[in-house]
Amino acid sequence: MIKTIVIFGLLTVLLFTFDVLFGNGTFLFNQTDSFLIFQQFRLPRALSALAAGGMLSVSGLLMQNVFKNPLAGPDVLGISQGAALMVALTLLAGVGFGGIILAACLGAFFYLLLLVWASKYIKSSITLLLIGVMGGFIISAIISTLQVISQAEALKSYVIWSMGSFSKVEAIYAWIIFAFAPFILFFSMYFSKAFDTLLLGNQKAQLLGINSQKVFFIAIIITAIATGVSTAFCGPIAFVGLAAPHLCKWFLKTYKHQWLIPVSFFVGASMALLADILSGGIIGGFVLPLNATLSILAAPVIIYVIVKKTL
Amino acid sequence: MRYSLIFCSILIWLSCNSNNTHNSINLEALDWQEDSNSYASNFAIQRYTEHTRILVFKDKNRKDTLGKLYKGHFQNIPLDYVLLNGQKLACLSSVYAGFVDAINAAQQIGYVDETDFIYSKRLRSLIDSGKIKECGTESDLNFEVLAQQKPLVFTYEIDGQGNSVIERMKKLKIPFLICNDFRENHPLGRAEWLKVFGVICNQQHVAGQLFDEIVSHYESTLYFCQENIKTKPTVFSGAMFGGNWNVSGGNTFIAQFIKHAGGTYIFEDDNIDGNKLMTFENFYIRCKDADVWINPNHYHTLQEIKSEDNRYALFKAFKNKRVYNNNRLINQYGGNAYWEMGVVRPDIVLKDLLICMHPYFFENENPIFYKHLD
Repeated sequence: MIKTIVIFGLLTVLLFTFDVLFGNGTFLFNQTDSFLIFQQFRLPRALSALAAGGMLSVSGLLMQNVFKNPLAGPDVLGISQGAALMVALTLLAGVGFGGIILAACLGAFFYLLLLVWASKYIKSSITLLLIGVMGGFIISAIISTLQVISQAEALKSYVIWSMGSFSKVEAIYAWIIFAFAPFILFFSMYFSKAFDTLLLGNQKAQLLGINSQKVFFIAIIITAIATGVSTAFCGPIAFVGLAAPHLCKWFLKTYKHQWLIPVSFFVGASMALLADILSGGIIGGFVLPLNATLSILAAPVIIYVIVKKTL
Repeated sequence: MRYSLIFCSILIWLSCNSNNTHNSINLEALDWQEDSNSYASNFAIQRYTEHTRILVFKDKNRKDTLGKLYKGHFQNIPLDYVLLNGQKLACLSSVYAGFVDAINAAQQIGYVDETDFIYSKRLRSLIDSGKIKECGTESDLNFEVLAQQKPLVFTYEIDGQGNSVIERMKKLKIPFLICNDFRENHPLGRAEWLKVFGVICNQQHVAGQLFDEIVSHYESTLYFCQENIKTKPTVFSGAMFGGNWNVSGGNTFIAQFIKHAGGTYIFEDDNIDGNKLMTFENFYIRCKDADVWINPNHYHTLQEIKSEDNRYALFKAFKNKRVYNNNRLINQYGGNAYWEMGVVRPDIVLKDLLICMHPYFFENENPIFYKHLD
């Protein structure tokens, strides 16, 4: 297991270095202002891809565990949309960029609380997943309505934010996202054994002396912060939170969170870094939208999971 | 009896058939003359004895026809292509409303895509009195109203003729004209589309006169630039969108505007008719030392730009406070006069850009659409 963690850790470091050195289709040191380019463009991009990819992947892993559903993830369950709604309200109300972080975290948190409340009454994980998906649709509809009634200029700010991208993240914000990543990783690891018990079900967890409601709540707080912070600065990032944990489970073949969490973090980070490299003009100079690249990378994994589950 | 019935049927069929042949019009066989265009290449106005035909082409090669419209008296041509007298107009962009308004035919507009985007006082009063209504944008068009009222819809090409909106309008027999003005490379080429709107709105004389006036103003400004400007500032345009920069190519009308106003567009050698995506980093490398920055998205002040992304402040144009935006005239709903009138009045836009790039020539004069951000 440790070998797998080291391999994926090295892969992440390798992709991070490649993104910094060649991520824009040109070698960093061939630029005249190479230090400024490194400081203002390459490093923020790579840092935010690493941290947001990793955190979203851990969020997805915890969601799949909490809801006991392999198709759960921040964007599928509508958590990202919850964050987006609060960001839309903040931007359309004319509040500056500073308010977005808090708004995104609160949006993700309240939406998750709502889902947890629903989960008390709905036992079927598929039904809960569908409720989450439908909730995401309702929120998208509210955002669309807000866009219709808002002024053209306020709308532009939201539209710009809603395009998920790592290259729009400034250096200071990239460092903020990066600073959150070790905390998310540390707290997730700290509660990893407790998360294992959630897989056994509430009754068995209680027999083992674990307060499953408390663990549930911790998982939700971690997910809300990780999703909120990533979404606030990078905009909605598609599929990493859903696909990366599955790739990780596929490699590890274990349900122990002490292994799943770090590997999931590195797989998510690697996936985001790879998508950032591919979308940044390295293929024949073509710049591609980040979420389109991520969808191409992640969709086969998701199809594999669905087919495997059906068979 | 039976034979007489068969004989009568054959006679009726033959008579109907011969009538059809007699009435059908072979347009290609008739004599016609084409109005010569001075700058535009994507439309043609062809004059027949009793009617006029407007053709819209996909590009300047004029091989693919995007749309055609007939005006006059003739039969056996599908009704959706024939312009009726007094037919209302639906403009799916404020640009088209601007064209119609410029030739004093605003009362013919029945619908616009979004009333908030309309700036002109004349059009706003028609909106307030309920004479102009909203018909929705291309993604959410009110087909029911359009199918009932059958206005002539001015639209733009999104995904070519396969566009589902176009297909649906065809099925519902809603007359439409795909306007390909935005693919004209020369600013006066776009303005020349006034002639198309002139034919449609029976305002050909007004349209012709206005266009001549615009050309005269534009050329005199151009002459002024050629004669007086010795040092050309380097210029870039736009702002980041979703982490990337949508860069206008060297053949676009914005590139022409900059060149004509006595500037050097940073991407003038990029031989592209449309736009291309560029990462912020690559864009910065190309434009960091440019003298002037125009059209930075929707921002009104330098502080707004900086608060959106600190890296914008790295540009030399930002440091030297030489940033100009086209949002000086904005109504309470966010409608920008530039987008409605700028296309019709390139002479004003050119003068504005000249003032922005070379302010020392015009110390007591302010631009119309543009403002200096500080």
